[in-house]
Amino acid sequence: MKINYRQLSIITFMSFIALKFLALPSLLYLESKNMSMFVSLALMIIDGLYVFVILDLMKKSGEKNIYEFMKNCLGTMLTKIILILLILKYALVVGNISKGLEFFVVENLYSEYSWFVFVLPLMILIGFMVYKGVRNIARVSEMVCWAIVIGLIYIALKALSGIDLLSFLPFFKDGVQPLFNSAYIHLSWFGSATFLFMLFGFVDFRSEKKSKMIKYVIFAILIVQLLYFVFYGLFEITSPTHNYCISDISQFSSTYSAINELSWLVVSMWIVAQAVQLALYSYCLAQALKFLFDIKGNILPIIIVILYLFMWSFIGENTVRMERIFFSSFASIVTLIAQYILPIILEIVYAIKNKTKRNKYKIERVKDERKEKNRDKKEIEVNI
Amino acid sequence: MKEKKKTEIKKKLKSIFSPKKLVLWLSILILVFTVPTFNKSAMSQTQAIVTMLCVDKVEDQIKVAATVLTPSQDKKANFQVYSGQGDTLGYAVDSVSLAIGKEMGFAQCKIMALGENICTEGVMQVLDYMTRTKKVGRNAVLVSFTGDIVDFTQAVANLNLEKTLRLDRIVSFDKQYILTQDSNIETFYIGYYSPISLGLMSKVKLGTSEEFNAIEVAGADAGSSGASNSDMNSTGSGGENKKYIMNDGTVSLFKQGKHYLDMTLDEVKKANIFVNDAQKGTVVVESVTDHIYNDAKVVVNILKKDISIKPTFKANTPIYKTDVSLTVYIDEVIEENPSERLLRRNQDFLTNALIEKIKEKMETDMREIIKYCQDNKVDLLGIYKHFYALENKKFEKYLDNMGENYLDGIEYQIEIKVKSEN
Repeated sequence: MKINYRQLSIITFMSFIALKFLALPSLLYLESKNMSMFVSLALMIIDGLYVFVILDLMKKSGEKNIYEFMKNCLGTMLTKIILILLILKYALVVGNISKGLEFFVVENLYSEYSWFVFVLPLMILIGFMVYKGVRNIARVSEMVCWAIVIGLIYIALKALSGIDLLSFLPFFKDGVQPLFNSAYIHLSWFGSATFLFMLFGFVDFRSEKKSKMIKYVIFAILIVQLLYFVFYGLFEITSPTHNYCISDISQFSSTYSAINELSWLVVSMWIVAQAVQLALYSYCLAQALKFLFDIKGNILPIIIVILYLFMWSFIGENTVRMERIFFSSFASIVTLIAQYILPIILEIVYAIKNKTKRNKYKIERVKDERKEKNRDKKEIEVNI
Repeated sequence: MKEKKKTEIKKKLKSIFSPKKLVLWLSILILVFTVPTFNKSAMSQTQAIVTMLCVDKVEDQIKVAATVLTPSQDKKANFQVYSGQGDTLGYAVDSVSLAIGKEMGFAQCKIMALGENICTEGVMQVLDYMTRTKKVGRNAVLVSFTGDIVDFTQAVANLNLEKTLRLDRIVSFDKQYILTQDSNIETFYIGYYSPISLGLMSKVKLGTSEEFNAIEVAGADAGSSGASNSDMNSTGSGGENKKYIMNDGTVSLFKQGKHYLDMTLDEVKKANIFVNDAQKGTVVVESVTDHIYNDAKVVVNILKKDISIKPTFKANTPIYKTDVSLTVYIDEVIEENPSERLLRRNQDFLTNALIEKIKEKMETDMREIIKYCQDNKVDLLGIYKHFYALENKKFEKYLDNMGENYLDGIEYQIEIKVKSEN
């Protein structure tokens, strides 16, 4: 079952905003202080550019899936190594979203809430969505996308008046080094285009409009930046203490109003969006496992992913341990290779392979032409 | 063979997910989640919903008093006051929990009130413990209070019974008029962790009706509880000892988390001229004499205030330039013998003489509050923040020379424009 270009754009949009509204803004502030917005902006723009690089590869692959495409370009051995890297990347994202969601719901949203009550239905839901495939995920994304967008804009605009612009100044007081450090440490939160690898062969490019994807990517970047602007403007120096960006923005004011209560509707909708993202990356993880171990059928990889999700409920029960996993150099290196180096390598190898093919084709054609000419000459001589 | 297996699996899956079996699955799921709750008591039986927490220090012991909401149809029994004490804040809170046999739940705690003694000693440990360990929301309104902790808590609980009045709303109302900022735990934290380490909170006073004219609360003896424990008391401040709370606009100023000084309403109003958020206010000018007024006292209401602050440096001297633009209307004219001109319609009562008087008064007020800041070494007006943000390098050099006395070396330029609402 293929998805169309519009659905692909919406999934990409959701992937761009999914991981950005929990702990990331507060973590960025630790290193890059009032310049944190620059770090996220820069990394999101790079992610946006990579969407088009991977889409270009996807088009070149035609009907082939990523495994077949990479095998053609790089050979089986290298493909398997890269698949392991992709599995690590997806596993990190799945772990990050699931634990983020669990912390948010179990610890922040409710005062007494058993993780088991949350995790069990979530696992069933994710298993079902992954089983149904990417088209199902795309359709749910289409359904919730605009509600999320309106909600996020509403939360941001409502809090906009409390912002102190002076808290963003002065720019680059400590130079650019902290920004690079911050970008590297938190790279695993980005790399939002890596899910595209597992959609090779699943996208119908007949209705392709590049401008549509550009619009969605730019829109995602703007929305994230708007919320970050509000977050840093409101909390200033206390930003690192706010692990739940989206709910903390809506709870900033102590004045009561009916409109404040609406924020919780937005937060609830956003939880749905997170669940969809969890399903998307679980799908990618299941696909990658299927390719790596050459598993027939979808059930076994789905069971592995569900067990992996369950495992996350036991480990990393506190944020400190979670941070050690996600913000280690290991996670950054995995993202660096999976999203930023792999597409370039594939583009180069594909270009070289094509060039040699074209050269071979040219040489053969020249040889054929010569042969024909020689044959013609001989025929003429014979005739004479 | 493979295709056969595939079709078999598909058939099996279809049978698992058939509508009838889905209903069965759903029923099992509901049972899994509901049955374990059957032997558990209702949350209201195990958790006390704290709506306000007061903390103070009494004879080397931390004393806490909490307003607890008990869901009930009886209006008077809704809010109960419990108190306890211990060597540490944790012990004090636990002593209340032990006495009432319920865990104290602070998720709905919307007000945190801090007594005079704890304010003098330092409030950051209290706030840190309550927000980090007890999960009090950072948007809880923060107030300081005078008087006995239990009496204060009871008086506020009684206010809650009178559904039209609530302390958090009374204090929040000040925001436009009196307070320089929304006084909650979050803003206090931001102030504390800023380089000048300054925090503000409203000060609510407790007293008897003879002491001041305050809000009278009906049914002041309501909300008393029958529990008896050496550590825990519940009091109704009713009967003859009826206590009242009063918000007279006093603001407590904290430096490095400790109570530093109290600002009167008049001082806060003057400081608010520099703050954009505080839009409303009045200016009273005396002895206005011109073609309309005859030695009149004029009360002018401020409708709108635009303020622009430009920090600059001129030959190593920092200049703090403040432009204030006011849109006003005349509220009251107090004159012994009002001139008949006051009766005329279609006349601009905002005369040049009055404008000059308003400007003069405003500038005097602004200079007075600057002097107040210099004398007390408190940067109420955010001067540090402005210079740090907009003239960073020069200001850091200047700070190296001036240190804590940086407010003294700044040249303050003030320009005021006044226009009528028409």
